[in-house]
Formats: sequence, C-alpha cells, structure tokens
Amino acid sequence: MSKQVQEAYIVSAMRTPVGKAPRGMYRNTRPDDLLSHVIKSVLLQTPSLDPVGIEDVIAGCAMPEAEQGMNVARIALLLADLPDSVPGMTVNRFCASGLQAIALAADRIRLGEADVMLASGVESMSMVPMMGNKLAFNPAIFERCEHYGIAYGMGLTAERVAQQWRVSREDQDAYALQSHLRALAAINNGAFEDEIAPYRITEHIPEMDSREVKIGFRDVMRDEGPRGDTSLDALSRLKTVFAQKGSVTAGNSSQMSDGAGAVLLCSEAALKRYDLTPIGKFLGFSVTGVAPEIMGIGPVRAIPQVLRQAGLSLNDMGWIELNEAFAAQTIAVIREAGLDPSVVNPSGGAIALGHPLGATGAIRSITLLHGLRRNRQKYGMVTMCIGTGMGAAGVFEAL
Amino acid sequence: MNIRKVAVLGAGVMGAQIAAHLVNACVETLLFELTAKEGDPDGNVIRAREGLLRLDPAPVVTPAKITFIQAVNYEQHLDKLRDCDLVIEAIAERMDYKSDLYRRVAPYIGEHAIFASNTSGLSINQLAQACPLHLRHHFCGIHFFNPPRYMHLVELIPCKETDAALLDQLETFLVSTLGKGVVRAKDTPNFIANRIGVFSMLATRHHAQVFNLGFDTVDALTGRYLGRPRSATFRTLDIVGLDVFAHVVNTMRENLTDDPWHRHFELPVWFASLVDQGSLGQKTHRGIYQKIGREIHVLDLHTKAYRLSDATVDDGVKDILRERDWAKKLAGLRGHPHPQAQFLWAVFRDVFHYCALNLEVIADNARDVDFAVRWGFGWDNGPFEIWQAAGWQRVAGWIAEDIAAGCAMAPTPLPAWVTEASRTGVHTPEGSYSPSEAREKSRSELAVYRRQLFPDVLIGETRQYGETVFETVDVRMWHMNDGIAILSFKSKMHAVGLDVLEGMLRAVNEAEANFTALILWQSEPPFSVGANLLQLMRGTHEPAPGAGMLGKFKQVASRVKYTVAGGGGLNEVLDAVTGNVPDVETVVAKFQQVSMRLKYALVPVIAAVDGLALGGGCELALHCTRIVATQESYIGLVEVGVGLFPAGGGCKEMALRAAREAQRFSGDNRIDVFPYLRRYFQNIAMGEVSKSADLAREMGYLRASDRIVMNRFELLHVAKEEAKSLNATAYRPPLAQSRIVVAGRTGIATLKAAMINMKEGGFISEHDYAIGCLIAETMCGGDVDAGSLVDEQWLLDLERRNFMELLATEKTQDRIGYMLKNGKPLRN
Repeated sequence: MSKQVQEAYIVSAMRTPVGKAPRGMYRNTRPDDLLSHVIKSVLLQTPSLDPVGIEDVIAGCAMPEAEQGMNVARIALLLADLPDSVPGMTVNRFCASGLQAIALAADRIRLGEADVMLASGVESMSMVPMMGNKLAFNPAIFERCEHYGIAYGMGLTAERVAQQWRVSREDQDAYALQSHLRALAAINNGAFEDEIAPYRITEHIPEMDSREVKIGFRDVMRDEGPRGDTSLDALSRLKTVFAQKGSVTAGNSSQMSDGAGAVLLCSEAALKRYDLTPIGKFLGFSVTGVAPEIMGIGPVRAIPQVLRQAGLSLNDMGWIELNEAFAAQTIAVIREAGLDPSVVNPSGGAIALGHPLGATGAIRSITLLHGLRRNRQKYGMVTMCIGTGMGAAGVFEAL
Repeated sequence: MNIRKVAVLGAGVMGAQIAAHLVNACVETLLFELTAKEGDPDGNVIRAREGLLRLDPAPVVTPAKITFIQAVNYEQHLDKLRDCDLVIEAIAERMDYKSDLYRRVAPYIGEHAIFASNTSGLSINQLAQACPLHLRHHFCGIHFFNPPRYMHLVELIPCKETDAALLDQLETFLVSTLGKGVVRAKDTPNFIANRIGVFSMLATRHHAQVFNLGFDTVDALTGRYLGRPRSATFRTLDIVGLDVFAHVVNTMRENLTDDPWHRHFELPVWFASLVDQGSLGQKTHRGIYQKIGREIHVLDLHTKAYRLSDATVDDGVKDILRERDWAKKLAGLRGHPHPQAQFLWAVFRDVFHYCALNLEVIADNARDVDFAVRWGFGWDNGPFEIWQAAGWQRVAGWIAEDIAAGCAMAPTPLPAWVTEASRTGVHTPEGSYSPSEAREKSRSELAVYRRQLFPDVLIGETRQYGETVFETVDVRMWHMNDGIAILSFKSKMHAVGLDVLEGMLRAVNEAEANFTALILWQSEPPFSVGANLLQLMRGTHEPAPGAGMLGKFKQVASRVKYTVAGGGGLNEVLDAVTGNVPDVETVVAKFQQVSMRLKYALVPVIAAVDGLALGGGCELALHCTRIVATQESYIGLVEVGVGLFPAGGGCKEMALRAAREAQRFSGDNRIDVFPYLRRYFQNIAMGEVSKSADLAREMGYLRASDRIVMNRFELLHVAKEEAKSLNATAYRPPLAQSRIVVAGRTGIATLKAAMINMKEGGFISEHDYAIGCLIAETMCGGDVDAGSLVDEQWLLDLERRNFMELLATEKTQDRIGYMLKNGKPLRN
C-alpha cells in the first residue's frame, strides 16, 4: 500500500553530546540553543546546500512548553540564521517524537511534496520536567477504572511489564551494567566521534568576590551519562522507586537528560541539484498502541509492522536501537519480539547514555546510521516504547 | 552591648553544634578551624558543616541554616575576629592547645568583645592565665551541654578578673537570643551539672556492683521511674561516649584530691578495657550495650560477654516507683528489703550527701544545683527538690543514720546547716539556700528575666497564675490585671474535648466583653495533642462514673488518650462510635464554630505554642490572629494517623492560604491554585509534623506574621507584647472571605493521579488512598470547575461531610480503636 514516488535519502546526521538532568552540564543551557546548534551543525556538513531550499524544519519535543515551547522548531531555525522563508513545526509523540519528525520529513519527500527537509528532536529535562510544568489531569480518568492507566507513572508501567513478563531484578541490573559497559567501550573506541557536534556551553555566573558577572565557556564533546564506577553490587543495592516490593530502580531505568539531534533529508533530485552524497535511506515507520499500564511493551507490536512495510525480516537487521526506557521493558521486548541481544544497542542505550525524551528518536537514529556505516552493515532499526501506551519503529538503510 | 557577630573557634562536635544553634537564632556566625591540608583551605569547616546534617536530632532548625555558618580558618581569616562581639573557644580539652590558641588569637579580639571557653572541666582561672591581662576582664567559661540546641543549660563561669557587667550582657544574650537557661557556676572541677551528674553515675555504678544488678536492670530502675531520661544511666554513658566519661572522671580524680569521695573517682577495670578495645558506646556501635539486628544486648560482667537485655523490675519495687509522692517513694524504697529498692535508696542517699557537702563549694545556692541538673541532664527534678519533697529532716536523719552505720560512700558527716532544727528544705517562696551566705537568695534581678512571667519553678517555690475569670473541668480563663485574658487547658496532654470547646467559646465571649486580647497558653508543653478521640467519637460529655457499660467506658477514657496505652474496652468504644454518629457531627460542627470564633473575634486571639501542636490543637492555632511559637514547636495536622483528616477548619484554612498565594502570584488570566495547594495537601495527606518552628513556617503552618521565640519561658511575654502591638494598630478581625478560588475537579484528579501511583506501587494502602481522595476533594472545593469561587462555609461543609463519610468506614474505626488501645497508628 506504499504510495512512495521517490526515495528519502539522509545526507547528514549530527547530535549534541547528551547531558544529565537536572543538574548536569546543560543545567543552564536552553533547549532552543541546543536545537539551533544541531541545525547549524548538519548544514555545516553540507556546504553546497543553499538553505533557502529547505522546505520545512520539523522538531520532535515531548514537553513542548516554557523554554522549549512557542514552536521551538521555528525559533531555533531563526536563531540558526536560516532564511525567514524556511518554516518550522514542532511535533509531539513523547519518546518517539524525534523518530516521528524524521518519518514525517521523509514522507513529504517520499510523496513528492518536498525535496529538502530537516528533521530533529530536542529536550531539556533540566528546564522542563517530565509531565511538564503544570499538572492537570482530566477528572474523567477516575470515573472508570479502565482509564486509571492514563495516570500511571512510567516507572509503574515498567513494574507491570516486569511482573507480566517475569523479568527479574537480577536480569535488569545485569542489563543495566551491560549498557554502561557498552557505552563506555563505544566512547573509548571513538564510536560517537562522527555523530557528535561538540557544544560550547556559555554560563553567566555572578561572582561574589569580584562583584562581576563571569562569563564562562566550556566545550563538551562526550555524553555525560555513562558511569565507569558502577557495578552489579552497587546496582543491586539500590532501592526501588516506583513500587515498594518492585524491581525497578534508578540504576536500571533510563537517565533524565538534555540533548538535541538533527538529520537532513533529500530527494534524489536534490542530491543532484546540490551535489550531495547520501549516507542512508529512510525505509519506513510504524506506530501502534497498547494498554497504557504496560506501555513498555509497545515495540513488540510496532516492530513486525514496520518490517512488513519495508519488506524485510528481523534477520536483515544488523543493528537495532531499542530505547532503554527501563531495563525491564527492554528485556521483555527482546524476549517477546525475538530480537538477537547481540545486535540490540551495541553501543549502549538510554540507561547509560541518557534519554532526553523528545530528542531520543533523532539521536538514536543518528547513532544507528553512523554505526551501520562504520560496521558496513545495511539495514537497521530504531524502536521505542511511548508513554500512555504506544510503540514506534523506523527502518533505515545505510549507504 | 549588642552581640551582632560571633566567632566559634573549633569545628568539632560541640563547636559546630554551637555555631548551628547561633544561626538557628539568626546570629551572624564564623566557624574557625585549622586550614585544610589539601583542597579548599576552609575544607575542614565545610565538612563539619555538612556533618551537621547527618546528626540526629538535628542541630539546625532547617537544613538551609548551615549555609549561614561562615567557614573560615586560622591562617587566612584571623582578621575577621576584630568584628566579633563574642568569641567562643571550643577546641580539644588540652590546656596546652588552648593556651597556644589564646596567644595566637588574642591580638585580634576586639577591645569590647567577650572571649569565652566552652571547656567542660579545665579551670577557668588557669585558662585566663593564657590570656593577656587586658583580655582577662573579658574572659569567662561558657559551658554548653550536648546537644546544644536541645539542652537548656549553659553554665557561666567567671574568672577572678571577669567584668561583672560583661557577664550580665552575656547572660542576657544566652537567655533571650539563644533561649538557654543560665546557671552561674564557681570555678571548680567539672563545674556544677557534671560534678553532680557524674557523681550520680559513679554512685549508681558503685551500688550496682554492691547489689549485684545488671546494667539493663539499673537502667530500667533509674530512667523514667525517677523522672529522668529513658536512657537512664548506662545507656546515657554509651550516648556520651565512654572515653568522654573517662576523661571527665579523670578530671575529678586529678583535681579533687581533697574530696571525701575521692577514692570513688575511679573507673573499674571492665570500663577501662572497653575503652581500650574501642568499644566507646553509640559512636562505635558498641559499648555497655550493643545492638544486634533488632535486639539490644548488654554486657554481662559475670560472663564478660554480651547477652540479650531482659531487665525485670520487681513488682513490689515497681509499685513503690509508681508512687508520685517523693515522701512515700523514698520511704518505700528505704523500707523495702529487695536489693533493687535498697540500691535505689543507696544512690539517692549518697547523691544527697554529696550535694549537701559540695553545695557551698560549687554553687552560689541550691537553686543553681537543681536547675543545672535538670537542664543539663534532663531530670524532671533536681536532687535538693526531691530531698525537700520527701521531707527534709526525715531524709537528713536517714542519711545521718547510714553514715553512722558506715554504709554511705564517705564517712564525712552532713554539714551543720542541713540539720538546723528549723530547716524544712532549701527552696522557699523567698529564695533558695546559700550556705556561704547562710541565707535564702532570691532569683537574679537581671532585666532579661522580667521577660519570663513564669520562669521554671522548683518544688518548694509557690506559683500563682493570675486571677481566675472562670474555670471548668478542662479549662481555666485568667488574667494578670493587664486587660489581657489567658485561656489554659487542664486536660491531659491538653487534648481538646467538648468541655475545652465550650470553654473556648465562652472565653472568646468574655474576652470580647471585658478584655483587650485573648491568649491561648499552657503552663507546660504541649500546646495540645489534638482532639480527645474518645469524646469526639461519643460526641457527648463523659457520663457519671459507674453508669453501667458507659461507666466501664469512662475507665477506658481516663486511661487512654492519644498516646497513652490502655487495655480492653475496645468493643465498647466501637459500639459507641457506630451508634452515635449524629452526635459526632455536632461535635465537629462545634469545633468549626470555635475555629471561626477565634478567627473573627473582635479582639486579637494569640496561640502561644510550645511543644506539640497536633491535629485539632494545630487547627485551633491556625485560626488565631497570630501564632507565637517557641523554636521547639512540633506542629502538624496528623489526623490521617487515625484514619481521619482535619475537619475543625484545618483543610479549609490551608486551602484558603493556597488561594491567597495563588491570587497574589498567578498570571492575570486564570488563577491556578494547584501549585500552591499541592504542598499543603501533602502535609495533611502524609500527616507531616514540623521539627522546629522555622520548619513549620516553611511548611506553611506559620505565616510570615507569626513569631518565633527562642526561650520558652518568654513565650507568654512575647504573646502579650504581640497582643499589645495588634491593639496599638487598632485591631479589627479580617472580613469574611467569600471569593476563595479552588482547584476544583481538575485539582482533585491531579492529586488522585499522584496517589494512584503510590497505591499501585504499594506505598500506600487502599484506605490511605480513600482518605487522600476525600482530603483532595475537601481541599479542592469539591466537584466544581477549577478556578471556581467559594466561601469559607462551603469548605467547612465539605470538611464535615467528608469527615463523617470517613468516620463511617470500618477501616477508620479500626485505626481509631488501635490508636486508643496501643497508642500508635495502625496501617490498614
């Protein structure tokens, strides 16, 4: 049922290093500045592209308000000095927002409506907390117990998944440790060097001794999350946070983070017009719903759907980025969907690298594309669970 | 002289805690320590400051207070001493260290500054020798007790040269600004409190050995039964630290060579070996006691090993110890053959004997000894008071007999003044006996004590609380001829029953008619532990005793309240609840009526809070024009503990405060009360209690206009001054609020969303959730649109309706029953 008229190529894919929230390196860095930075960075990779040709900038953001409100895509592209004629929109599908932005951008090209699109994701969990600045639930949720799940916190849903799919505390902690070890190995091997656009943090600090505003600069180029000092013993001693007799801890859950990533997509015509070399191709996207109280299992449904769409099988996938919202749901998905654990998150996942909600989809797609190319693999997938019970998956081809 | 800035030298356990208490009292404080060898030169102080947050009980009134302690070191910052009006030295107890330091800091200490040492045993006159001559006039001892925030006592010890006026200024500062109880001591080893307190411990140890009693048995006998802290004798030693105690005893042995008890200033071999092994007590997790898992084990001298602590007090001895009259108690102990009784008498005898012989040497008068022991060791009564209450001459006779018989620890006869024929004690309404002047000496004339309308009182002194306006079973309204009326509760733990409620209504009427203000003040803490549950449940006055089933009920009622355990009668209690629901609603309505009368009275009503103000007690205070609270006030709406929630206007008042804040701070278009309401909801739903008055302010129980008092004996004075100042500005009650913005349906749903996660996560029970939902509904103004405007009565009606709904549930009834029976909350 594909209506594709042309291919959507990826020309450039860059991200910021991911910082810890709420007290990490970006605690005073605005998300619109981070987004503006990655937009500029992808365009630096493609100097032959005339920015006037960009037909839309789509940004994924999970809590699009306050510092990342006001249609952060448009604000960031203007701050990045793109021409006024370039429009921008912000989309929200919680943790899949960044992947959704890429899918929407690719689809405009695939339908023949556009030739050059910029897709991105951004989130500052330091500045806008999970669930936003103002909580206001609908009273109707509590009128029927079928709706209680809407009010469930993510951690509680992970407990439910751990229970239903019998994922033990030991397995979760072991998985968490593996995530850190893989991430550290990737960093030490320079695996992220091509994809990271180093960021210069500027801070304005009141200095009490000199009574002056001190402007400080710091260049960051490394993800802040991975910990070399963690161990199975340390992880096993952490207290559960979401259920008194549960198994989900701060150590085997994803970290709260800040970050941004951007991807430049083009049609074949645009590749020729601007003399650009593609690094990959977007093959398909699917998203589907599950019960909100077991939201973590979402990818299990989205994965076969997107594979059917792309006409591929799991065996074709050389690298799978499965977002580690929680070790509990990651393990359940690996088991239930029959994934090969060795191809899932070879360079670690959100437990170590962090999970800047709306940015994650874009950031992990960027890691995937660079990873596939480095390993000379062809097909790969990005998939994640989504709050209030959804799952999404996108398939890429490296060129 | 005003003391604007204080420096504390030495960031050890005492120095850091003294600095903490200074900032508790909003005194600018510098804390000095040696320069750190690595990193930040002030690192040693910074670490000490952070260490304060790990101490329990907390030395600071709020965690943020520690940031006000300025970290400085001797190398870089001695210059800063020049601006300090008081410098307190609190370094290690070594004459050589102290002398070195004094020489080093002396040139920097300001001409008018006071320089004081927190030594607990070294001679002040000897220390003064290390100061240059001009500084000696400004030098004295200032002995705080650990933990300084909580122990009331500070001993002031002048040296020969100390300027008298300066000492008065320091005393004024300690009493009013820091809230301490000052006793002037003579410069003798260990001063007053430790001299007597440590002797009492040595005597206890001595007789324990003589009568062959285990440490746990001794502690069971010498704790609350004698009106002393639960930690009694040997557990107190573990808390103090066995090494510290050994040091103090050593000071006595080295310096009190003429003392007739000198041979007892020795520690036994087992004690020394514990110290040698590093079993120093609590700080090393092992001393005389050891906690193994949940069990308490105690050292057994016979086996030289630890065994499970299983102290039992003989039933006959127990009966004597339950006696409140000291005359009967001491006579009973002396006359009873059981070793436990004989042991206790022997300890009392030798402590009395020791006090009598040393009074003249260590203190100015007997009052100073009794207060020093009470305030420094937490005894309810000092040794002289107990002796006097037990019958001075009779007890003196017994002591003399025992000395003659050779069973006292020292053979020295009692001093002559003790046995003067006319003597009935040492404390009289006119003053307390001073052997050196051979007369009764009245209390200090220092101006600061005029702020203490009712200072701490000793047995033997008389006390008259003004003139009665009216008095009922549970309340008394009185005044001191200054136009200000005071209402004091007489109920146990100052619980609020129907009689209190009716008394309050009457008191407000009286105050409006005949007085300029009304103060709610209790002569002793607590302010109030809340509603009298039994009365509340029954909704009526207590029936006449002996009236059938209800008579049995009365027995229960007299024994059990909020915290007091009692057995049986539970079924009757529950029958009464379920059978009497309409009456309960009447009581709740009356409670609300009282709250509203307090708030809208034509004269200012002031709640003078000291100690606990819980549940209904807190609600009453919240409705007063002002709260004047001592820093050691523990305030909270704790009703959830018994499966209920505040329905005497407490939920209403907190919702109203949230609305007022929202109206002030929200944007123009739509007032969002929820962010302001959330914290108040949490306080009530979790039953949170403030651990200081400053914390109560952070939690929203105290408003910006409410006052905090450091010294509890000044509370009534400050409350009166507050009343006067309100009247000076032509006091009028607030106008009734009719436009209170509420969080409504969306607010309820958002609170439920948080709670459902706690419930599903197993952090709260089904019933906790049900209670939380009703609290949410009440505080959000019910099932109305967010941002709706309601009046106070709307919220009060919701309180009452939802309270009755909750009271009708079986689980809430179980919780109340359990609390009444066991004195602690049931989780169901």
